[in-house]
Amino acid sequence: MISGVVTYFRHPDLVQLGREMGYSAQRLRIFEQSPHLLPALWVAVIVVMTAFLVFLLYARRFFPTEEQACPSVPKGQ
Amino acid sequence: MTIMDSTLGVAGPSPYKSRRDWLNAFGVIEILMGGAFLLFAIVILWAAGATMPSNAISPPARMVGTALLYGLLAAVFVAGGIGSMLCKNWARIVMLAVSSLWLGFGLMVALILAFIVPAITQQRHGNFPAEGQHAMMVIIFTLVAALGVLLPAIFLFFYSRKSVRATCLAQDAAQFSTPEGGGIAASGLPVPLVILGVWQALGVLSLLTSSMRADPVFGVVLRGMAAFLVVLARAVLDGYAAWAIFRQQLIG
Repeated sequence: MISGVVTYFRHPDLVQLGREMGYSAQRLRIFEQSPHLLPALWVAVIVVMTAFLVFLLYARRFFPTEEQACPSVPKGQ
Repeated sequence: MTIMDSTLGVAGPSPYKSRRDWLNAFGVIEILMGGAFLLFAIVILWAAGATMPSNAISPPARMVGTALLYGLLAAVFVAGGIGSMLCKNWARIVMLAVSSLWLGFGLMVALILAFIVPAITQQRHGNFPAEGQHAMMVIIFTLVAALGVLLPAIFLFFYSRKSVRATCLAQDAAQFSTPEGGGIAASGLPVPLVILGVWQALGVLSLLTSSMRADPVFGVVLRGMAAFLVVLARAVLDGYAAWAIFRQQLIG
């Protein structure tokens, strides 16, 4: 995710980045012809990534704690 | 018809209705969908072989990867369907995970299509009439909404119902009941962890079926072997994460 953000700041022109990565002109034409598509994709990516991060933090509680994973003998026994 | 409450270990009538018939019906739909996915996989493999240049050694890796993806989906849906017909709790959890991810992807595709469709309908494609283009786009959008949003939403709604959970747990408890008369509730893996694990596993699949010729890493576009190794390393890490999640091991 951090790599993606750094890449965006170093290559703000994503169509040019696509060309450098070897995507065909036909595939990139759709982005040039509809200027609203890239911002929409960015919004979708940010929404998905935020949702994933929130879900990741939520799912953390379902992992067993250290005590549950390796129950030790209670003190005094 | 009601079911016995197995979740609390109480041998009394459950307040929930048995959803056995509905589980059967959903199971049949899932098996049919699995069959369709298998058919797609076969057609793609056949097309890859048919369109392969005569001097090529093997069909394009991307087409084989897509066929593998459809094959995996077929296996998941057929297994989920059979499990659902047998009222297995693992099948309910698998279908919850699958339909959650399916709905997420469907919503994203619908959102993107909503932006693409107006742009495409504004363009003229040869002699194709504008009304025809508009109608085609409406059909595509309706199909995506029906198959990518409505269908998984129905699956998610059904499998997340308490009565369905109670039916599956009662079935599991009846099967695994001990001679002492006790029963075990199917604890298994929590649903959020199943979803997370499936997400990571899908990440592996998507990386392995992606083009490995170029990959941007921290703003530097890697090519060739370097790109291949980086993508492979990410796939290994994703696979390790999925494995740890399924084992309920928190690392890091």
